[in-house]
Amino acid sequence: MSDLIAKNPQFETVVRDSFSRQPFMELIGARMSDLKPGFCEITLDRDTRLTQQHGFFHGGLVGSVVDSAAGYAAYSLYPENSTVLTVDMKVNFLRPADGDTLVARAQVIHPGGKLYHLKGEAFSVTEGEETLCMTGVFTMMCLLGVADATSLGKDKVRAST
Amino acid sequence: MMDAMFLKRIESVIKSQKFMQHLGAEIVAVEAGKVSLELKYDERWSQQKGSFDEGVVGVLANHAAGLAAATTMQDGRGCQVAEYKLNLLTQAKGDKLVAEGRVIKSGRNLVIAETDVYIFDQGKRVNCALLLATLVAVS
Repeated sequence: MSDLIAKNPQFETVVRDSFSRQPFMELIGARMSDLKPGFCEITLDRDTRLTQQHGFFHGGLVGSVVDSAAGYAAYSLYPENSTVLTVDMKVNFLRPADGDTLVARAQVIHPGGKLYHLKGEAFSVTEGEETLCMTGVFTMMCLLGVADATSLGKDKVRAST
Repeated sequence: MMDAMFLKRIESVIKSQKFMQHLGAEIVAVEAGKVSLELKYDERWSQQKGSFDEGVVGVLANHAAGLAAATTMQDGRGCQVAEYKLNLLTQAKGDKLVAEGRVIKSGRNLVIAETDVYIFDQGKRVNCALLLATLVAVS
């Protein structure tokens, strides 16, 4: 879908700034490797602390990284002074994510008013070869006039430990 | 595209689908891992005037995914839908629905398939629904 147009000309700055403020993505070492209007890619290198008992990337983590990519793919199309929240996600795991790197990609399928529908995929990468390991659908909400900040800017900032 | 070999493989499934026959859904394309179904608008399938009921959108999308999965079944094996999720993107208001089912992965035990549903309104084609399903292979 190349006909998607960003409403906010500063979308790249806004989205990348928001991503840099996600402590969980920072914790796992995820980086935003591509961003276009309606599309986002997040890359994550393998670390044994991110794996489950079989040595594969943990499924919940794979879902989380694609969720983050989907949220930012949607957010890239939002107008100024707005923020994003996941409404729902459904994923199917196709193969174990047993590669050196995990690449999450999400694409807006339908930009609505309040709700945006997306498709998301995760690829396991070994020696440059990508294998599709997860596919899913995501619904994101567009919150207008709400700050992209802790507690949506409404509450006191929670103390971090 | 209508591939005769894959059409033959799913013939018995099509014959047994009485509900699809009742609706009047037609198969418009069959190839390896892909099946497209078409359903013309009828007031009996309406939710509001001029638009298809969401349940009808779901049943068509589900069958397109199921038949696409069935094209990948060999040696007399079949498959059953275990679950599906349907995202309704826009109201399905128009002359006809086309559900394009596609297999994402066909494994030994499970088949993952998705369907894009399009609504045609006065020649304009709009993606109105998205289905993602898990099917279980049965012998």
